[in-house]
Amino acid sequence: MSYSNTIKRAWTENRLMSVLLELTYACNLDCTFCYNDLARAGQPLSLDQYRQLLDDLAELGILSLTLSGGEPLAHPRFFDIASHARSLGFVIRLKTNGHAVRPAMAEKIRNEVDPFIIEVSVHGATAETHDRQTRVAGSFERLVANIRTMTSLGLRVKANSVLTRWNEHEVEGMLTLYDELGVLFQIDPEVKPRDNGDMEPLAIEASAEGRAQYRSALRARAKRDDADTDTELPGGGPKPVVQQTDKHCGAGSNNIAIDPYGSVLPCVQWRVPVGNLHEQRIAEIWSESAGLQQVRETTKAARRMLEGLGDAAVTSNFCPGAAHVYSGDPLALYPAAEQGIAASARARVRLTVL
Amino acid sequence: MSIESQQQRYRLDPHARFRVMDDEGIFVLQEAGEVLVVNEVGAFIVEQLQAERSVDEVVMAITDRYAVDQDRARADARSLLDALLEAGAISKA
Repeated sequence: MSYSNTIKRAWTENRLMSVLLELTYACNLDCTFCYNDLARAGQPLSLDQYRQLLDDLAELGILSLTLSGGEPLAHPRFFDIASHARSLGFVIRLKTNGHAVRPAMAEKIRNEVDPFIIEVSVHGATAETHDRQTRVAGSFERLVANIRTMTSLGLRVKANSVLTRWNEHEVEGMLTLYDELGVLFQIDPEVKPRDNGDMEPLAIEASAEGRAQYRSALRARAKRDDADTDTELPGGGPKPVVQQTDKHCGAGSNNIAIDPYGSVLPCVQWRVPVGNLHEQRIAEIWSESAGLQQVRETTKAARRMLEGLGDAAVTSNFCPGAAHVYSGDPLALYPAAEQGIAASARARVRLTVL
Repeated sequence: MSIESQQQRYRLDPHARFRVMDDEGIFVLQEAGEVLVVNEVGAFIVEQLQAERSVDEVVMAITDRYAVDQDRARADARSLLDALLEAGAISKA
């Protein structure tokens, strides 16, 4: 039996497998393109509500739990929540900026949370570029030291980076840094609007030349490593699950996200609440939410729409959630998706030629 | 197989995670970074292990639930247990 077949079934049969919890929007850094809507307010979920939620998710058979933010470690009850999650047997992914993960904290995370992976945000290959993004002097040196600590403790670390106009000239350096640190990595070529629709972060999106250099660097890396990395070339290959289902993505079908105020979202990028945990338990929302049903139908419509544009579109980076942020229409193409489809088409031509 | 081994109990490795989803079971082996998927019978056997049942008790549970004889059930259980032990998904309790 294969895991990809399991994922396919989860998409098709609406089996919830993965939940992302945004525990707080508080953060100890001040990143220029942070996508969180920092003005959003509400009644945060209590520790008792988190415990109930986690119990319910375990009862539903959810496998993967991502603890995110803001900065999840800034939640005052982070370890109460995370250790309860651990006791329930979730595969835990921790998404952090890494700034607070000093040696004592790293050890506490390993011992009390035992995460499958810790994903940290790296914004460049130099202190000048990284600290410009985080707007906290010294954050790069501290992060690099913290990553070394984490890996020395046997924690699996992945560097998440977003390609921007500020770091596009450092892609080679970032790849070298990841190698030297011995971490997995993923570079997202797309700067996205804020969750509230604010387009200001796009002011630093990578240039066309920068994206081309990034693709070239990744191709060279894939060739060198025989594609043995955690980073996918944009549009560079088929996505088996995508090819076997009638949906474009698993938003609302096998994964959801939950914000600090209990709003249940189809995924972390699709910020349309389909229920709230202050009003309903998660099992009820999962099985009865009309909003979720609509999302599932929309992912099918997205699939049909992209199929109409050709194979390159089907395997592109189009995201209904991002489309919704751009225009309010989850089926409308947006600039980065159009660029992604073009890149996917070029990659297909290259594969054909080769 | 010795009598003693039939009384053996196994438990999930502390670094392994396991969930049953409908008719299959999914192991995530955290240290190796690998995923194992077992079929319905495999998932049932792992659930018996989690309930702290011995190999003999697992075999009985299989024959109670599925239309197989004891020899076949024992052979299938042993085969799965050996594979899970080798993968580091379970260990002796």
